[in-house]
Amino acid sequence: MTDLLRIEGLRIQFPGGSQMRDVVSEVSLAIAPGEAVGLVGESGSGKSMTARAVIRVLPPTARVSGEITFDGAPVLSMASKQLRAFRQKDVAMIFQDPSVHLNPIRTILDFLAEGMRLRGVTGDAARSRAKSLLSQVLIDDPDRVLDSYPHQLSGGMLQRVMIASAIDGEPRLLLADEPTTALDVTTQAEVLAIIDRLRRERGVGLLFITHDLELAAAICDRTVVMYAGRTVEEQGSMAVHRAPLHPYTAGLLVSRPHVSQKQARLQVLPGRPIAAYEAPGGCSFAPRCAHAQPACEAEVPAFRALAGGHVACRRAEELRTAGLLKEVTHAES
Amino acid sequence: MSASPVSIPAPTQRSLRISMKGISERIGWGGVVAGGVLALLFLVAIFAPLLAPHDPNQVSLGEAYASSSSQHWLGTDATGRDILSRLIVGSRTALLGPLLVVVFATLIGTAIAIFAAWRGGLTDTVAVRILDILFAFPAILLAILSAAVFGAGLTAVVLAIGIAYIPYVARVIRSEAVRQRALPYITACEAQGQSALRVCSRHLLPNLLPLIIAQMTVSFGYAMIDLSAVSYLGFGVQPPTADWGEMVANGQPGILLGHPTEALAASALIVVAVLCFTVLGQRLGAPKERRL
Repeated sequence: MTDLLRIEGLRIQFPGGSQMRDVVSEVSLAIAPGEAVGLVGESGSGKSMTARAVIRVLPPTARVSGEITFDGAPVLSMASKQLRAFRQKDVAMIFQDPSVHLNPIRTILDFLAEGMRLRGVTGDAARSRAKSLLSQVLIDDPDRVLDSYPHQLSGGMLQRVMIASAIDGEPRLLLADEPTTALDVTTQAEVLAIIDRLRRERGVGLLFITHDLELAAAICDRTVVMYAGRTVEEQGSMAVHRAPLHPYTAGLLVSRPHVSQKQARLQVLPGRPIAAYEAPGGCSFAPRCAHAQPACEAEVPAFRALAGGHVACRRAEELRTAGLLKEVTHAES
Repeated sequence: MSASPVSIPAPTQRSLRISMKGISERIGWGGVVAGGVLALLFLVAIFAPLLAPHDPNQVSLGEAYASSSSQHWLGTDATGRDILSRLIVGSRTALLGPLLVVVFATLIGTAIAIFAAWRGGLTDTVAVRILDILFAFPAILLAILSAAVFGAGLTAVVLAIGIAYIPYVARVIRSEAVRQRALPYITACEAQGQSALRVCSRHLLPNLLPLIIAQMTVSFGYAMIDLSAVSYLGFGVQPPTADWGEMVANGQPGILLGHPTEALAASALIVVAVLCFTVLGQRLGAPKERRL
């Protein structure tokens, strides 16, 4: 089966001082039609930039290399007309903070109708289509919402509007960039449920960006973990939890607080997350890794297949066999 | 599916409805007064032929330098023309000139500003440099130059000053457009697959409009001074057509001869009009609170 979206060796650089600095060094991932893939990483690990590169809405100073193909078509070399058609029909993006992604001086109806106008739907037809879209995202008084301005609606409401706009074009791929981070917990659950339901009903591919491993597991078939601008692990979402392949993932899982276990202190990863351009010569995680050896710092580990997933760690097999990556530390502490 | 339908309270304000209270809250009482005076001036300009008590160009040498009377409220000038009538009719050219300058400079300046901000990079750098070069030419000098080449008169002068005003408009609008360009809502529009032209005209431009209006208003005042100055120097509006700047020049000998009314009244009107435009422009540009 051909992949819906394929990202290979993606590298994104920005000018920093006199030279170009990596923000994303090497990201590779694939999404099959109708598949949900979670992209997980800390702030600054390059998740959002990766998603933005897919629809090419990066800041103009960015330099992008590598390959992104959508349904076989190379995205990075699309001419502007093709690119517009691609954005209109094939792909839609849901942003982190909906309130700043809406034009403050246009009503919700204007916003929703903007996408429809591109397909020739206008006037009353656009309004009734907008109403039906809003009811699909469970807004029960669409008329009132349609005539509102963004500042009159709550964050959860606006995110529903964003989702409604995203599904309007019947895209085959949905990019969700931390769609629930700006929302409170109960609204979060509602919005997630809406995204999940719409995706399943419509068989839309989903790239779900989050910093929350469990959220990714709840929604996504597979999870891709990023660290310092590189993909370090890729596995089925459940497998990531049961048997992480990379020490970084294992470290993240261990450092979650557990309600069931009273702990004096949380297990933490030593050090701080680094940006891609700060990465040392070898494995970028080596300085913080409990299992690092001098050889780890010699060269960047390849992203290779292992146990049904992929991992970029020189010692992955060893550590796996020795059981050092199991989520056992909770019991020990 | 656990989420239940959600309802929201009715929006408090339907839209950006215009109300007297809203306006005075936005621009303060000073702005309201300035706006009122300007509205009055424009009304006078529009109905000038009906309001003027005499023919502004009717020379009557026997009545030269007549002082104020029931016939001539403000007296007459050196050739016996009614000063009040000349002021009233002169308001037309005095206001029309700056209006043309400002509209011309704003149209072209805004187009350059948005284009530069949208394209960024080299386009932007080149555009800013060209504006800088244009900036180096004083408006009046350019106007005199064009009057020298194309002959004196309002058209050439207005065009020249209009060109000289482009950078004043474009620089301010560009910097705001650059800021707005980087805002997420523009990115979202692009992500929807809208064309650049559409995003600029439907989303970017309306968000720049308050600034554009403020900039136009302030520029109007400056344009008025420059145009009056050019007319004063004799390159703009040509006698006998009445114009405030031309009247200041025409009335100068009168000051020495003890008949200062013409020059002073015309100057006062210029000062009042410019002051009102500046106040209004400032109030529009920097409201007490930026809403939206």
